[in-house]
Formats: sequence, C-alpha cells, structure tokens
Amino acid sequence: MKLEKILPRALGESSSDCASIFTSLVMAAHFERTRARALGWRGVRPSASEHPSWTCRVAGSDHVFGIRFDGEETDFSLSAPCLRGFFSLYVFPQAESPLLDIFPLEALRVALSSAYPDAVREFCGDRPELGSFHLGQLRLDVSFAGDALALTVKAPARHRVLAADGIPADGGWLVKPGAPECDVPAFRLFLRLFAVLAGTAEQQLGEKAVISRGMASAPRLCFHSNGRMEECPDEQETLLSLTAAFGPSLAPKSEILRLLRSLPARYRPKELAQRARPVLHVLTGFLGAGKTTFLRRWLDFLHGRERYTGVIQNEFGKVELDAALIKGDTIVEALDEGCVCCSLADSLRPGLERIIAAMPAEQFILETSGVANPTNIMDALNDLRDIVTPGLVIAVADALDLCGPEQAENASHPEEAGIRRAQIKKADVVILNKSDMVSKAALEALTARLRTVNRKALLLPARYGNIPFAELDAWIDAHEEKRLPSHAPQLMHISEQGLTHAKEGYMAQTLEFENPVSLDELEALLHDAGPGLCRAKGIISIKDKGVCIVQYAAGRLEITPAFDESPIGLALIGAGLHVREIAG
Amino acid sequence: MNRREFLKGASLGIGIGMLGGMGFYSYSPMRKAFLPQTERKMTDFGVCKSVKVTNISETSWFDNGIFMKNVSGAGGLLVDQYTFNWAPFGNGKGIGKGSYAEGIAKLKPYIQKGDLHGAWAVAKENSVDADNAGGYSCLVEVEAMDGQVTKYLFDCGWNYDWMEESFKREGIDTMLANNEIAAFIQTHEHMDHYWAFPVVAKYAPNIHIYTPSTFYPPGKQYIKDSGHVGKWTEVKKGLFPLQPGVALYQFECPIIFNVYGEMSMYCNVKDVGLVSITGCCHQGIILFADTAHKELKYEKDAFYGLYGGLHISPFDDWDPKYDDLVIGLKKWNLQRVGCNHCTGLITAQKFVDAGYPVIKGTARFRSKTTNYLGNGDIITFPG
Repeated sequence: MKLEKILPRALGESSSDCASIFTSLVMAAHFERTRARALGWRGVRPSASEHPSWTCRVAGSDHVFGIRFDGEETDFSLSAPCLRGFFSLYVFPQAESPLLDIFPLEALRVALSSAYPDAVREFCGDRPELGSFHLGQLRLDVSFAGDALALTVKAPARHRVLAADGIPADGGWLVKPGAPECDVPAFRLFLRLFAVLAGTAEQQLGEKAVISRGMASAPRLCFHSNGRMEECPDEQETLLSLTAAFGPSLAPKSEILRLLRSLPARYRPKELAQRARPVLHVLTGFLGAGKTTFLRRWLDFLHGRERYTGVIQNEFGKVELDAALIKGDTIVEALDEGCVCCSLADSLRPGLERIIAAMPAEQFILETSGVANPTNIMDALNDLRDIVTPGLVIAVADALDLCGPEQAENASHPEEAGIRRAQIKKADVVILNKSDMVSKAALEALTARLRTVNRKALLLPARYGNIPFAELDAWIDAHEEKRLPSHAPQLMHISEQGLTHAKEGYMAQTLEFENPVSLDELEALLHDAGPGLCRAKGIISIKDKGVCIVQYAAGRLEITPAFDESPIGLALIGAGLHVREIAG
Repeated sequence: MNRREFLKGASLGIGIGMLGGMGFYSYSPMRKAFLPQTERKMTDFGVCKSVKVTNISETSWFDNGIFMKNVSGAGGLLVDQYTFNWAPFGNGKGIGKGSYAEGIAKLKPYIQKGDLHGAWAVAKENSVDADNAGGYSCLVEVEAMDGQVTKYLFDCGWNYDWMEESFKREGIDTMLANNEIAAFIQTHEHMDHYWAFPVVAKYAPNIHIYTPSTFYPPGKQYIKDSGHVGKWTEVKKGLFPLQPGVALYQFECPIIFNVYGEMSMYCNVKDVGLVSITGCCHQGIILFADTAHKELKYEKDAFYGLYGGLHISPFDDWDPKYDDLVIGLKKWNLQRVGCNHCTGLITAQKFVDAGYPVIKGTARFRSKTTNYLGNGDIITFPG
C-alpha cells in the first residue's frame, strides 16, 4: 500500500491531512465519470476547506449522505505512529420517505419544513437543526510511513432514545412512557456509502481491502419532558463497525475485530455502467427545430466536465453547415450519402468505425438529418450493438412551429406530419425548443398533445437549446433497472416501414452563388420556393454584410455574420420546391 | 396517531411546548471526538487599492477536436501528461509513449543555448500535434494602498513559439529581462499552464517562483532543466499571503493527467471586495468561492470580481438541476467577470444571457469569442 498514490506528499504539513486524503480519494475517482459511476457514486457536492464537508448520493440508496471532517489526532500507541481523522456521518432521507417515521421526531419535523432541501444542499455540519440526522462516524487511519490506511464506519445497530415520560397526543400516546422515541437502523443505512468508499480506495490503491467488523457499546439515553437527558441504567446501544484496511493494521488496541470474507453491500454495476462499448445517442428533430444549437450546448456541458464526445452528422443536402458550426469544438464525422435513415447500413457503420478509431471516447452523438425517420434508424442501430451501446434517442421539437395553426390539423403536409410524429413517438427525451416564444397555455396544450403521442418520454422545455443537461444523465439513471422506451422491442406499423425520402417527396437542392446576394433577393428566393420549403441553411456572401450563416426554418430567417468562414452555398430542403437562379 | 399528523398539529400550536420541552435534542452516540466549529475563520490578509489583469494568452490549445483525439488516443484522463508525447516532451514514439526524460534530453542543448525556437522545432518533429498547443498566462498588476505597483506573472503557457510571440506582444519579455516582475506564480503543473517555463527562465533566470508543494518529480526537475536559478517557494495547502491584500491559496486536489494541487490568487480590494484570479479552478468554483467565504475577511463581504478559467466542479452534482455554472455562481452576486480558457464558449454565452456582468473582450489573437476576456485584453478591478 502506497499513500503517495493518493496524496503525493509527506503527512504532517497541515492539521487536516486526513481531509486531504479523503478529498483526493473521492476526487480522483471522479476524473472519469463512467469509472465513478461503476464504483457506485451518484453525485458529490463539496463545501468549504478548513472543516471540509460533502454531500453525496450512492447507487442503491435514495438518501443524501452528509460527511463532515471534524478533526484529526496522532496516535503514538502503536508500533508505527498514525493519524486518525474523524468524520461525522449524516443521513438525509427524502421528506416523504417512510424511514423518517422511525427517525427522531425532531428529524421528521425538520424534514417536513420547507427549509429542509436547502439546508441539506448547504450542509457543512454547522446547522444544529440537522443534528438529529447525525447517526454515524467515519474514521480514516493512516500511518506516517505511508504504508497503511484504513477506513472504518461506526454506527448504532439501532439508535434508540427513550421518552421517559412519553409523548402524549390526542388523549392517547404518540410514544408511550418509557418507549423509544426513535428506532433507527443507523449502521445499515451507511453500508452502501461505506462500500462505495472502500471500493474507491481499493481502486486507487490498486489492492483489495481486508474487511473486518467490530462491536462496542455506548450508554442508551432517555429524556424527560423537562428536557433533562440521562443514561438508562439497564440499556446499552450496540455500536457496530466495519473496517476496510490496507497494509499493516492500524486498529486501536481496544478494538476487537473479526475478519469478514467480503465487503457487505458492495456495488455491482449493471451493463450500462460497466459498458465496454461506447454509447451512441441519437439526436433527431425536424428541419430547423434547433438540433445543432442544442448539440453545441450539450457538447459545452460535456466537454466542460471532460466527458469527451464525438459527433456523427448527417446532412441532407450537400452544404455541411452543421459540421462547420461545431468545427473546432469536437471531432466530427460527416456522413454525406443522402439521409442516414435511408442508406444507414451502408454509411453509418464505417462512419462509426472511423470516428471510434480516431477518438475512442466514451460516447458519441449521431445528429440525424431533419427529415430522418427514426423508425428506420432504430432498426439499424440494433445491428450496431457489436460496436456501440444504444443510448438516448432525443428529439428536438420546435414549440413555436408545433403550436402554429397548420400543425393543429397536419392536413397540408401529411408526409411531414408523419416524420414529426415518428420522431416524437420514438424519443426517450423530447426537447421543446423555443418554448419561450409561445404562451404558457399553448405550451401546456402542446405538452398534453405530445403526451398522447409519447407518454413515456421526458419532456423538457428549452430556450436556445438550453436544458439542465444533467437531467439527461438522471433520466438514464432512472432507467437503470428498466429499459429506456427507445430500447423496447417494437413492432412497426406497416405504414411506418421503409419510407424513403424520395417516396415522401423530400428533396434537397444546393445553390452556389458567384457574387454576394442581396437580402431582398434572398427573401424572394425563399418565398418563391413555395410552401413546401421546410428549411434553408448555408454560408453565403450577402451584400453589405459579408460572409454570413443563413438559417431559415418555420418562416423565420436568421442571418449571422461569420468572420472566419468561407461561403459554402445554400441548401433548400422540402417537398415540391420551386428554385430559381439568382442572376449572377 | 401518526407522527406526521402529530407534527402538523404541533405546527399549529398544539404540543409545541411539549416538543420544546423534550428538547430538540440532537443526541448522537457518535458525537464525542470533536465538536463542530461553525464560525467563519475570516483571516485578515490586508487590502490593496486596485488590480489589473492583462491576458497574455488564454487559448491553451486551438482545436478542441484534436486535443480530445490526443487524450482519448493516449488512454484517457488518467494518463500522465508527460507520457502523452505532447510537445515539447516528444520522443518520436507516438501517442501515449513519451517520457519526460527522453523528451527533455532532446531539448536541453537548445534550451541551454537560449534557442527556444530551435527547441520547439525539435519538439515538433518528435511530438503529436505540436501546432495545436497554445497556452494560458496572464500578468497581474497589484496597486498597493501607497500607489506602488507590483507585477506578478501568472502561469506561462505551453508552446514556446506561441508564448514567446505572446510575451513580446504584451511586452512581458522586456519586463522579465528588466526584473520588473516581482514573482512568477505557477498555479498548477498542467502542460498548457506550465510547459513554456523555459521562456520565462530565458528572460529572467533569477525570478522568484511559487509552485504548489505537490509537483511531481518531472515538474520539479523541469524548473532546473529550464535554467532557473532563483528562489523557489513551494506553497503548502491553504493560505499563503504575498503582500497586503494579496494571497495565494493552495487547494490540495488531484487533477486529470496526473497533476496534484492548484493555487488561486485572492486580492482584497479596498472598499470594493474580493477579486479572485484562477488558472483553471480544478477544485471547482463552488469550493473555491465557499473557501474564500469561510476563510477570508474581505471588503464589504462582497465577491467583486473573477478572472480566469472556471471549472464548475470535479463532480456530478447529486441534484441534476444544480449542475450548472450559471446557477452555481448566482449566489455570489459578482460585479465583474472576465472569463475564458476552460470556461466554455457556450457557458460564457449563458453568463451573458443570464445578465452576468461579463466584461467583453475583442476576440483578437485567436481568441474565439467576445464573451471571453481574450488574448491581449485587459480587465481592471475596480472597473
């Protein structure tokens, strides 16, 4: 056992060395998110540094745990001197958890107050009202020689405090005189947390821990209605402890330990967490709904957390605007052979293989063309399970567009309505983009309407493609035990099968301009293309404005200057287009 | 009677006296080792009059796609940065197969001659994607209460050629050569902040340098191999005052690519508030702000300004709705923010959208957005 694997310096530099070791242990486990999750971590929030504290969640438990560093002391009584750091352990069940009914009444009172969620979030061990959630202790022992380390959790098997005078209620008793006012199985509550900590230490130190258990006792207390507390003469609290030790034993001489063969409650990750293959998320959404905007924001979130992600883009039409927009942000593999949903088998597998070889990241996102029918894609994805694990199917929908008058009936463009419907129907998550541009009532009506199409998906309203991105991870977590809707085997309706864009009447036409185009000319061109025009996009030179990114969707034209870009043309996508040339 | 109903009744007044009587007790058989200390420590480290930060370079690498490809190609975030075969420590054996010793051996003859352009040319031949390297570095000028200005060079970047060019653009080479810069502060050992150190040592081999005490052996050796002969202070965990109103704070935390510990700078500006300058803030902005709040005494108890790269947290938050830098910073009510580097282009845009007081830059010298306080831009506190 080498302490330097966790802390690269000698002990004794500060009065909180054990806190540094604990921080380092937990932080290093989080460099790679998949690793942290495979260990059982489900989120950590640190606070302060002099008396550091943390709140966290672990797999298999609904509670938030609070951990606070209280201090450390040197023990010279062993042959090798060691430091012992002490941490208070807290359990914060959710307010509705039945567990709280056996917690101290005071804990239940605090949990039912509106201030409870904030108090737990801001936990740093200094709020007296959270005292009744303090149910255990963690000890970290480490030898000055750096060759031994041990983690020990200690808590009452059943934490009981007796109400000597009882607690009367409604002419009867809430707690009868002499009965326990609380009865918390404290030790058991910390087992999962401890198993995650011990597993983390094993991984960092690169060796198996020696596991042992111990038993001790402490006086059981009872309280009187006047507030006085005293020890019960004939009852004791049984304190159980569990130790994960590395290197020579650092146990205090007073502790009698019995060896265990394995670590109780050790987390065993499920397939998604321990995956050997990268995850492939699929991003769909109709033309102009804001897929690329959403994607850029998602990538910013992921890359800010060092969760590197490659992108496979498929453009319908020759203009690779989307690839140009995220150029420099990440590795992009552009598939340009028509729409991915029609020629998927031919182009997606080699594209995926190329990008995985270029960048063996933990996840990839396939951004499909706006007219892609996800039914066709889902089928093909199943054939790629040997190289990727299917992840989320996310549909970006344009709330403004969907609330528009035409959409209510879907009569004028039945084929378009079919694709939109399929995209929403097959999604695990629907992003309602541009939701700030519709009224609250319209958004509610739209949400209700989408629910009838897809009752299982997570619906997230968004503005400029912004959502709380961690909700996507939480949604995957929520499906740890059950399949994501998109992963369910499905029978395709006969009308959904094999529709290609040619059959649906979709076409893409790319225009290249020799000279800068005036704004009037551009608007006329879009207008003359006819009602079948769904989307136009590209990078072109515009008179008096220079090189600009042009985006047209749902009747709105957006022009953004793009200093660094060169013109690549303009692609018009839709059905029954009338495209005329602009005179040079 | 059910406990929840009983408490509802208690909240209406029935039984409150009794609940109070039974003592809101927080007895725990476990609490005996130490009692929690609850008060803020609020160390007084003096005041200064103003702070000016000149961004020498915030573009650590120019293409994120290439960088990510390097990282995943070498084996991920746990891989030691010295083994990537990134310039300048290339040995020609390809991605993930480098070493400090082999890399520095090729460079040393050039570094000793002061020919850093030559050194980088050799590095380019033997390394992966050397042209993608840029660097992070800024100049901090602190005006003391008596008007005297002290200059600190804060990190030194990565690419020798790029940093030499950037130093010249801002006149840093001359300042170093004239001993105008009081000290060099190396926030952490990451390549993009540190590996152009020979450029500093070339102009000012005697400069007083500060590093975290937890550099790994190659990082320590590189100081010597770069030709530095001046004073070297290794800053231990916690607060380290530099002058009245200016202190370093060393956060002990492991960082990706096998680096440990990062220092940030706190400046207490008279009648204004606290100004924080960060390299990457790998400890996480939440912990960073919390630490200042609990440990330091500062003017008006106000978080006034922030400059540098902002990492939100090394962890996923357990509550997904809070996993957002914009939300994380809201409670501190900052007055002046100059963000760049690892903050994220979109995050910077979100700050602007959310109405944060982001000081805009000019997007020159390869900085990508005006939402960043970019290369060659200056921010002053107070504004």
